[in-house]
Amino acid sequence: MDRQYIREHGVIERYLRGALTADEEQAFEEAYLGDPDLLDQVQAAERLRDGIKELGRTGRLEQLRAPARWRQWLASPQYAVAASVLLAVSLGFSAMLYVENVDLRGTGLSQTFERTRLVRLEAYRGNNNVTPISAPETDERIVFALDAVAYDTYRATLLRRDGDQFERILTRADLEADDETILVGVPGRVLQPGAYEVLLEGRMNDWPADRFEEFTRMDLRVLPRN
Amino acid sequence: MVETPDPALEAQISAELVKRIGLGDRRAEEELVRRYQRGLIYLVQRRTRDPQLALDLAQDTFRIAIEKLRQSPIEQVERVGAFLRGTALNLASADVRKHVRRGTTADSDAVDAAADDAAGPFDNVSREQDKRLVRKLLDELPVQRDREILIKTYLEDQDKSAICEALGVDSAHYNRVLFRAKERFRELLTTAASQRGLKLVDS
Repeated sequence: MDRQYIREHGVIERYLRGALTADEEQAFEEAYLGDPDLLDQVQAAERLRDGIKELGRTGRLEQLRAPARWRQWLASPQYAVAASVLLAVSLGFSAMLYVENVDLRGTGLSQTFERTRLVRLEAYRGNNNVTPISAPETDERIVFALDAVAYDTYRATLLRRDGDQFERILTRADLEADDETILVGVPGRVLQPGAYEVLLEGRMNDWPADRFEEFTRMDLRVLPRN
Repeated sequence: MVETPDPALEAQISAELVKRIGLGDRRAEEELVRRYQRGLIYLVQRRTRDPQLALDLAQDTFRIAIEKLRQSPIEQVERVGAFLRGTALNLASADVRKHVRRGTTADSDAVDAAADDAAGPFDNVSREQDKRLVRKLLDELPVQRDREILIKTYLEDQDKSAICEALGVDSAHYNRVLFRAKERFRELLTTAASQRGLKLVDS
């Protein structure tokens, strides 16, 4: 008599309630005599059975058998209403996150890059200083290095300029300076040939909340690849 | 998951023990007792419902078996377990037992030491703890239907097919629930036994 037979034919349970045939009983007892693990199984099942019977005798099993309070509440109309409202709210929130996620994918934030190019941008403050770069490959990332000043955090915005019109391409917030330099990563595919401007704003922690101050703008020209 | 015992290996071990005992190997006698005594005591206890009597009968069984094996091998050397079982069940009859206790003379250190080494892994877990563990197990089962499977099986002693029909589950699901529940309960028992063992050592 092997384990599979014992399991599939409920041999332990039938043994415990004396329902095996004589042949089955002999085979099963011979099997567990020399098999301590099988004997453990039999004894554990017997204690489980005795424990359940004891709980049944003392009436405590009914408590376990009945749905618990929280399970009853789960089945109540109040729960159904609350769950429906929660579901509606979470669906709305999920939709919002999805839209944002699509936007992020659109800007390539979740993209992995084969190459990275570091470009230092100089503030033009009165000069007509334009930094030219060749149009990046789609799998390339451009990291702009910008000079920091005394702000605690920074916000950088990349704008595409068409005459007097500006189109926001992307914004990176909560940037912090490292060694007086701010690094801003931009996926290459958003930098099509054309004129751009990088707006940098700063904020002090002890200033009124959420108040950014513009402190520099840098011109950038993306040239077609040769 | 526990490995399936190998019947061929069991037969080989049995034949080896029988042969060695026949050659006067006292260690083989010890091995025989160590290997089969727990199961034999449990088996006899189920028949007699008397733990002390079961212990006595198991010792008598080993005395008879060793005496016999020292003199000549049994017919089926690969089934010494069956031989022990048959002897024990014969002894479980009170009349036979009295006769044997008068007539058995084989001396064996292995048999004398048997009672010291027959404890099961859950023996130090009290029945009160059992109840707590059962409640914990039932409470852990997330599906009411699975609790019902256990209750109908063990409290109401219902047949598997009747339970499957009543609860609308198939045989595979029933087997799975029962197997997992028993394994979990065994795990709870083992943990409780080891913690109790530690407390005893501490105190």
